[in-house]
Amino acid sequence: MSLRGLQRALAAEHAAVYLDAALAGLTSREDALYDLLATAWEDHEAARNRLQEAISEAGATPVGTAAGYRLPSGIGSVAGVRRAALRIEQRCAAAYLANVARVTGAHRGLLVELLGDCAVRELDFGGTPNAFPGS
Amino acid sequence: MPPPKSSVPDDPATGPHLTRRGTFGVAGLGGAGVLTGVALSGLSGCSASDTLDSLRAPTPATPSPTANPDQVLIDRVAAAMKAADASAPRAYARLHRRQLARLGPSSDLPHSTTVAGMRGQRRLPRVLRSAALEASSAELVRLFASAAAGQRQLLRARGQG
Repeated sequence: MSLRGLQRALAAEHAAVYLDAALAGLTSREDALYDLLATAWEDHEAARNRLQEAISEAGATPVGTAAGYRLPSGIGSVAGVRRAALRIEQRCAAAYLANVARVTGAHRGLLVELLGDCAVRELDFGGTPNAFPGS
Repeated sequence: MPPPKSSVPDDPATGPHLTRRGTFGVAGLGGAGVLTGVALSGLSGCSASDTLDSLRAPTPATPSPTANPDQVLIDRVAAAMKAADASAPRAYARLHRRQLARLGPSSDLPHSTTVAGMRGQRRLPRVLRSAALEASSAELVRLFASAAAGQRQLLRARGQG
């Protein structure tokens, strides 16, 4: 069974973990956005761990993090950080959607669940309900 | 990065723009050689710019003795949505109209065992997830998976999830 779909989703989660941490670092702890970013960071870490576990259990080596990730542009203000956080969730959702049909069974179920988690988090950063999140 | 695009206009006609990446499909069914088709447009790769395209399941010219399994799934989901929308806020019916426009259910839907109202709405993510697990066409898997996420999103946005 191909694990490429899980590996690609994991790569997206590695990026989200890094970028959410970076965005939180740019945000005052007094700002409500900080808590949202911290929660999103924890959620992405948990998703990353689940994907790593699934890949390991299937007998493969999970992909590692990239050497670096490019920070989004326009993050010089609270509004800019919020928009960047929204884009992170949207890109993660897109990665899940692009790969959900590449896997089967429990792996597919996991990607469907994590896609939904991203869609729900989009709302925290100003997103609005969408008929087809990730598309 | 592209600009945020999570907003869904109220008018379905102005909904998210979709990109056709390729079309294939068609499942031959029935001893009479009837060709029934599910036009599928595929997402390929894993780029964030990949988008879903419409999926249509045209009615066969002659009734087929064997149901298309994917069409059965589409109709099952459509029936569950319609049942759940019966006594739920209109926002759910609007969402499902957009989703069903892509799924292309049959005009004659099966009776749904799904409960009506908000209980049915809360159950829909599981119905859609299950359909995503069962679907055989990759495009349909993506449509069901994305629709499940959209349902969860709306439930949360309305504080009903």
